[in-house]
Amino acid sequence: MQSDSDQDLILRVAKGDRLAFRTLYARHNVRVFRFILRFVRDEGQAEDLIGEVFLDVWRQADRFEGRSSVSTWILGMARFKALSSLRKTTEAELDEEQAAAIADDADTPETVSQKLDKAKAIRRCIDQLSPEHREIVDLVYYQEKSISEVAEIVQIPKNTVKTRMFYARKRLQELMQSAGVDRGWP
Amino acid sequence: MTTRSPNDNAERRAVSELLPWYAAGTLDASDTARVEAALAADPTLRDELEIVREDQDASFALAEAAPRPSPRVLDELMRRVEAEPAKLSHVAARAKAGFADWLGEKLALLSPRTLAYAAGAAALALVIQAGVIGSSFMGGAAQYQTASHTTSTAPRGDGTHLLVGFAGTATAADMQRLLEQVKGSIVEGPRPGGFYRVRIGEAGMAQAEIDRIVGELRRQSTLVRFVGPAT
Repeated sequence: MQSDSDQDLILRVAKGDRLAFRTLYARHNVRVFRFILRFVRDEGQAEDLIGEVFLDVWRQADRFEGRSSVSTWILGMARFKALSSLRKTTEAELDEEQAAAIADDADTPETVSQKLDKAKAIRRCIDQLSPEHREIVDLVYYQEKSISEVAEIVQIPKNTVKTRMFYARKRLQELMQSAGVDRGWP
Repeated sequence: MTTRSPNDNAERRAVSELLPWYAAGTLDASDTARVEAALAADPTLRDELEIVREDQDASFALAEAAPRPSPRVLDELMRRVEAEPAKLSHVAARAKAGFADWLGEKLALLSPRTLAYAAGAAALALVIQAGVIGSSFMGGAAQYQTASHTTSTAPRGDGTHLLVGFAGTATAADMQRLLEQVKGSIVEGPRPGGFYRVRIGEAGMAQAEIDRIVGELRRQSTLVRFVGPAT
């Protein structure tokens, strides 16, 4: 949903209004930071990147066309920055890290079911989703982005957004079942 | 277990795919109605929606438990913003649109009386404003420039010059006051990046005098973001 006040702020930022810029930062920095953190998994790096993102907001505010919400525009830039930063890591290293994360899942399901309550188990399983699935779950549930907005941020067709989210949920259910929690779907 | 037709299965799957956005309240009206109709008819979808809501709550809690950026990020960001050229794209766009337009805008911001005149004869006033302010900034005979016409001559090559970048917050009055203070006049600009070539005296000025003027301008850090020798 487009926020008029965000629109007003970005128009003022385009004219060099620093107070409007600070307000925009205060409004969006936490969510954008957490979105970046999911990719890079390093607070220092995420802080550097959020600085880069908002500097681009300052520089490019006059190019904001209002076709999407301001937060969608910012998240799109944040995603680009985070992925560009990740590309500096070699593919091999990335694959290794992801494989290690998956291996960790398999080692601990019983512990999860025994020691954690259901909500904690879900949180843990969400944390174990692939980066692609975690991203979409975060965009839909936490960032509260519509299908069109997710499509714009992730740069995929709307139908792919829906199926990717569906399979993310399915994968989450599998992880939950592995953790000993059967919620009866699918 | 009931047997569904392929069409029913396809519709159920389609509605199932929409449930996360329904739970988040980000579906459009027609899809919301579609989901609600399906929920009313299918108890298994209602169960699935409960699972979606559990996932939504967990996802939110997980995200909220994540750290926040430290205050240093904003401090560093604002430091970098202050170091940025004064809204380059605006200066460049104004330069493209015509120096007279840009000067007219600056003057209009500062002079209600000019604004009043402009209300009656905006187009004419714009050209006159450009001429007036052009003469006060650039020194010598009044010059003006529009997108299609200019009376200005080539930048003067004689004299001692500095390259000056004014802060984005500097008004036309601020710029004029500073120029008067150092007995300078703009002979060229804005260049890409919003820089102006400012003549500060005759050719062959003593270095100590140049340094004094540079220092004087640099002390006005709220109005001047860059001062350096002009080539």
